[in-house]
Amino acid sequence: MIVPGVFHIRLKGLELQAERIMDPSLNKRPVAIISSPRSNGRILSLSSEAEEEGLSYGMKVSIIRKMSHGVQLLPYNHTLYARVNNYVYEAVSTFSPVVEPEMMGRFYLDMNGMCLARNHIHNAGLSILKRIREKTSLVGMVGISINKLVSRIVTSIVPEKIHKVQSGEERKFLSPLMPPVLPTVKEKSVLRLLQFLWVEQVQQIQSMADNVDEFRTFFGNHAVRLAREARGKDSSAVRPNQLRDHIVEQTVLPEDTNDQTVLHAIVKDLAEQVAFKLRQRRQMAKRVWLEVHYTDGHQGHRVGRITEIDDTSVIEACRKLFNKANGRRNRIRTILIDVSDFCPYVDQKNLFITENNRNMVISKAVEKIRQKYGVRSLQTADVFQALGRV
Amino acid sequence: MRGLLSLTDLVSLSQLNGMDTLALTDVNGLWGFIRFVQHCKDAGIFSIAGTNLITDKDEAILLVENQYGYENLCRAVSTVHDNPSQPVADILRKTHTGLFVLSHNKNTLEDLMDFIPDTHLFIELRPGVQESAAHCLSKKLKLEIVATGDVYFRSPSDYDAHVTLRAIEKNTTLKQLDRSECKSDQHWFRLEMDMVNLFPNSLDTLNNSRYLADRCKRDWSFINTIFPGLSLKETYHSNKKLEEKVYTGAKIRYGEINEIIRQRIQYELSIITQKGFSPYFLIVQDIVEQTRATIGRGSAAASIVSYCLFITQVDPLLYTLQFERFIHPERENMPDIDVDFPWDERDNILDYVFEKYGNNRTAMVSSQVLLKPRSAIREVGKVHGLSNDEIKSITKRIGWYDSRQDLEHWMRTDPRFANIDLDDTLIRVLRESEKIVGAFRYPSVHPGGIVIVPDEIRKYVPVLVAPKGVQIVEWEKDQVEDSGLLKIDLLGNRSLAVVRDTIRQVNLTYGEAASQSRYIDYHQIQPLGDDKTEKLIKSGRTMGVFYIESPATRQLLAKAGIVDFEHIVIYSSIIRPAANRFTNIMLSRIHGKKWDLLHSDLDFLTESYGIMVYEEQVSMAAMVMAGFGYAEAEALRKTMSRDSMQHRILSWKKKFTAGSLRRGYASKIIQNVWDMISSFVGYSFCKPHSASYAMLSFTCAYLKAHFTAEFLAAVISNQGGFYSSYAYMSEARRCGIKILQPDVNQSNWEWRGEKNKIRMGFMSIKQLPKKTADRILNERKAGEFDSLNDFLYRVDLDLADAMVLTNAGCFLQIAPELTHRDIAYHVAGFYLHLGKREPLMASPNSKKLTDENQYRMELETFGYPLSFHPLTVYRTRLSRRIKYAKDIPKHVGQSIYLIGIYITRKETVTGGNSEPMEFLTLEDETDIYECVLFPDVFREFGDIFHWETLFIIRGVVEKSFGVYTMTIEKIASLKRWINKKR
Repeated sequence: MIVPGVFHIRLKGLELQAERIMDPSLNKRPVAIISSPRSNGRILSLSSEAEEEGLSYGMKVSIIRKMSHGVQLLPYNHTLYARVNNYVYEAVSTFSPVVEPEMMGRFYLDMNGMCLARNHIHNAGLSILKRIREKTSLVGMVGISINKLVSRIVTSIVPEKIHKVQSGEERKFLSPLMPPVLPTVKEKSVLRLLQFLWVEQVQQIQSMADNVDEFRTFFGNHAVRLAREARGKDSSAVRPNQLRDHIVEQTVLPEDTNDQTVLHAIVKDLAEQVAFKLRQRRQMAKRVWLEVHYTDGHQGHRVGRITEIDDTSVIEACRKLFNKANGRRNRIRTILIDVSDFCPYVDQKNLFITENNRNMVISKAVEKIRQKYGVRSLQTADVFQALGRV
Repeated sequence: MRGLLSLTDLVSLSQLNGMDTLALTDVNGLWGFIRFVQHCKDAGIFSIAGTNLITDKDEAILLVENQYGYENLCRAVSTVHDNPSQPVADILRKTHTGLFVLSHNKNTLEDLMDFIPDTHLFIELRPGVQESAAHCLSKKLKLEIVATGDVYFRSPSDYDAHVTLRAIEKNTTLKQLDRSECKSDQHWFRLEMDMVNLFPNSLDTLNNSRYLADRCKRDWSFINTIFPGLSLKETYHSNKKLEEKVYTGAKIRYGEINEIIRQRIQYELSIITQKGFSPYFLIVQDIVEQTRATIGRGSAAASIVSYCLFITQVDPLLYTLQFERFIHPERENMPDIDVDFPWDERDNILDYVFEKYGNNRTAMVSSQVLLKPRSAIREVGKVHGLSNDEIKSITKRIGWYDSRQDLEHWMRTDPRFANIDLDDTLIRVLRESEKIVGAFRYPSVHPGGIVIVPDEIRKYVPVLVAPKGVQIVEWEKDQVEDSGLLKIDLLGNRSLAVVRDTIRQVNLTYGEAASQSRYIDYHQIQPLGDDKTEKLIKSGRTMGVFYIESPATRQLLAKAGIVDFEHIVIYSSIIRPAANRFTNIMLSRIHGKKWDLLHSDLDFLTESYGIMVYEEQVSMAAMVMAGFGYAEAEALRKTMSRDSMQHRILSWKKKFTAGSLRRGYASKIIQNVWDMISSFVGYSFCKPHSASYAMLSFTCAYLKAHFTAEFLAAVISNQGGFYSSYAYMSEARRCGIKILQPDVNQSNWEWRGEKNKIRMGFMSIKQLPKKTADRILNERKAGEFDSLNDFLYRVDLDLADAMVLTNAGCFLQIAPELTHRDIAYHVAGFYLHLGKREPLMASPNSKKLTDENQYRMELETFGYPLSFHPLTVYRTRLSRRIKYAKDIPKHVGQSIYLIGIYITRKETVTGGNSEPMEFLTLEDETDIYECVLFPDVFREFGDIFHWETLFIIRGVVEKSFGVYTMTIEKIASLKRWINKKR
């Protein structure tokens, strides 16, 4: 029998927990993390006490002020949360060399081969939570199963701190749950069909999947994946950070805006950071994913590539993507750049100075200053003005 | 979408600063020219016609020298509308006679010099053009320079609003807007001194503008009516033809033509022929002949000629309608004849008119869409990137016809906006919206106005092609009317279609029996005097009945108790916003309260209980009391009913008061009469119009009383009634009619009534395209579907449509052995089976849907639940203290709890200090009931209507004239209330 060895660690409301650690007086008080203290700002995370006061995710600051004077509003402190997340990462890394950060406050650990040394899986889970608590004072939960899919579902629906699904019990564990817990059900066509057929539990999918041909007829290309997920099967490996290899830069605007000047400056700022990281790695990227999130929840994205790694070229590439991705007049809340599929950047020597050479020289010079005095020590006027404005 | 100055502001600014001549040069149009001339005349200013012709290539200012110039101006503008990518010179090559042309562009001027003499071609010196450059050009081309203001806004502070307007038109944000699309901040209204400061070295050019103004045409008058046929010969033949047709029609209408009828016909014909209106009547009669169910509205219903030509449906002799309200010997301008057609036949009628008279002579009237507070906030909000939800949270609190301009103040002080969060962005949006309210947005097509001219329409008014593909004139109906163009209103009316469809269905349902009865034909229905019809109207159960179905009218009918034709005519006229208090006075008089006329001279008010209800009573009061002539009294009446003339009301009041005092009437009487006249502001009707509509109301009521299912099915199918389909469906249920689900073998596209049941049509299924329904109906002609497989094999559909049909329950009858889940599995399997189209086996789960799931599915499929009343699920969780609507009469004077689903509501303001209040119509499982929220309650709870449809209320039962209403004390969301209790 295979021993469940994939752990999913989830720290619910990491931002809130981090704030409460920094200021213990916030414990048990209604608290909400907001994108900006100005009236346009919105709630990004909130405590259960704040929820009881009638607040909800996405609510505007001005409305909160009208509704509830007792709620403590805290601005989004990205640096703090990233730092705390890093501590958690370090804490969990001591238990296994194979740790995959999923997103802020969520990690997969491959504990296969490690649990024996620690006698018992359950104890291992407890130890991880204890270590996180000792290192960061954060409270987390652990889902344990033989794969990433089931472990993640465990932490998303089971209220216990540690819950283990025994090997072979995955199907049974999933069967009473509602279909949307399965990732493939998020596909529009799959969801529509399941709703039409009044499939309300995973077990109905499981029994449908037993008739393979018919199941394939219903769900086409999604059938295999859906059937596997319904049975709790997932063969994806826990991949350590360096193997995933992405550069992700993101800005949550403190105040939603559709001011092109500000938005272009933010894109420029993000692109400069991406360019800096690419130069450090001496790599260019075959895939750049630029995503914009609007106030009303809509998203837009475009994909491109980066072939030159000086600031000007990267900024230009990102700006083009942004202009294509931003096809609406609505105000924007978040801009994200995700760079991946790296390949080596060969800096061929030119006999004559070209535009690219010149740009690269300038980029490197700027980089030196920033390394010495900090990232924000040197900024172009538009970025400075835009960041000042938002 | 460029200028911010309204005509009123522009003219009053000019008057205030002593300007004696003003040229209006709208961009590519004469959009407001007629109104401009009227405003200028009132202010004692000469008006010049012109335009700023802007094409994709270049631009020029055109000013009219004489009548030929005006005609050429209209042609030139129409040409730009046809093709905006040609240079100005190409447009003007054939149409420059009688026009002065000004341009600041060297190339344009050089091109124009080839064919326009230097007496008519000038260099324009406008803000933004360098004086020295203009002088150099003048020397080179040997042309004189004329300075212009090129005004777009009142003051430099309005520049931002101008930029916002441009961003709105270009559908972009402020930052993304190409600034070449905007004017500079120099284009504000300048006085002479400001112009001198702007062009200190070009005083002669300023004088030139004066000299040029004096050479332009300034004597505008529009007294001539432009008939479709003008020649004497044509009119002579028309007169003869009209007489023949009228007498033929009279024989059909009356059977025998007695002396009274003959005299009336002769009298009307003599005036009609004397004024040359015969061709007009014949054209309208020709149009009306194209269909059967029509109704002539407006003052034309007072004419026996119209009645005998089957243009109108009310006998003017029987109901003593005065012909003079329609055509008066003293009347100079042409009265319109408005005719309603079934809404779905109107487009065919318009096609017929265009085909018969040609595009060269015919065009539809436009509707000039202006930015109202609601649209202004929406557009400015988009420019500033607000999401739809954010914009809607404000606009849904603003009525379509609200016209306030102090938006920020309004939202800060009015309780309706109490929950709106006024942040910095929103305040900016409101401030910019305030400035652009009233700006011209775009021209659209008037619902029915059509203009026919004798020769070329482009010489009278610029025309353009609307996005709908139809040719329209630039002017809206009032300007068309005032310009002398002959307008015919061919409007779509849903109730005519309801009557037509009900009769058709009745004939189908009752077959032979119907064909021998008197209700087979629209023109033969005799609803007056029918007991069942009167009983229905008297009970106020008139939902679906044309014109008398609103909650206010239903209550009025029930309260009044007298519902003969004459009274219905009165009720349909008095139900208007400004006449509320007179309604209550009338009710008490109907119920026996003693009353006297305000003055014995006002005996024409006797028929309406001493209260002014018809438009003609306004004119008559003005003539009797103030001594106005016919034309003057008519002008007063028009002023009261037109939005664009509201600024003249005060001067009319003074004139009326002075005239009445002079003739010896007491101040109190004058004030009382003027109060009644002021209740006609906004909209009002003449007696013939109300009589015409009342006849249709009676016809509808007759059909509802006798053929309820057929009638209500037709009401729902034709849509657009006062209430939602759900409300009409509930009404049908209250009338004991069974609602049957859509079915592939029984349903049609529309809803169909048959005796005591209504079969829902495919149109009730959201997301089912018409072409899919047509495919089913076509296939059904070959025989009904005998099983689910039979249907699936025979009808070529896609899975999405099949899913929608399944959820609507369309297959339940042909597969009675299967549950909904089975059918769904079967259908999905059939369409997904790799194109083999062989049904798969049954579903692994055959359980019936739970009530909750059924409810949810119906809500998604139809937009409302079908199997259960929406309140049923909540009733079981409520205490017995919550009463039923049917028991309201048992609790008069008591405070009781009720639950209800939203049917309709109307916001209004109190008479005294204009505080907002609300009338609300709710329904529970047993009945529909009316509620009122007075200002203090509305202030506290009014916001709930923006986000909730199921309510629990506590209110006092009031009884007035035998009608029950709930005066609400508290109202809350039913769902929240139950959750809280739990």
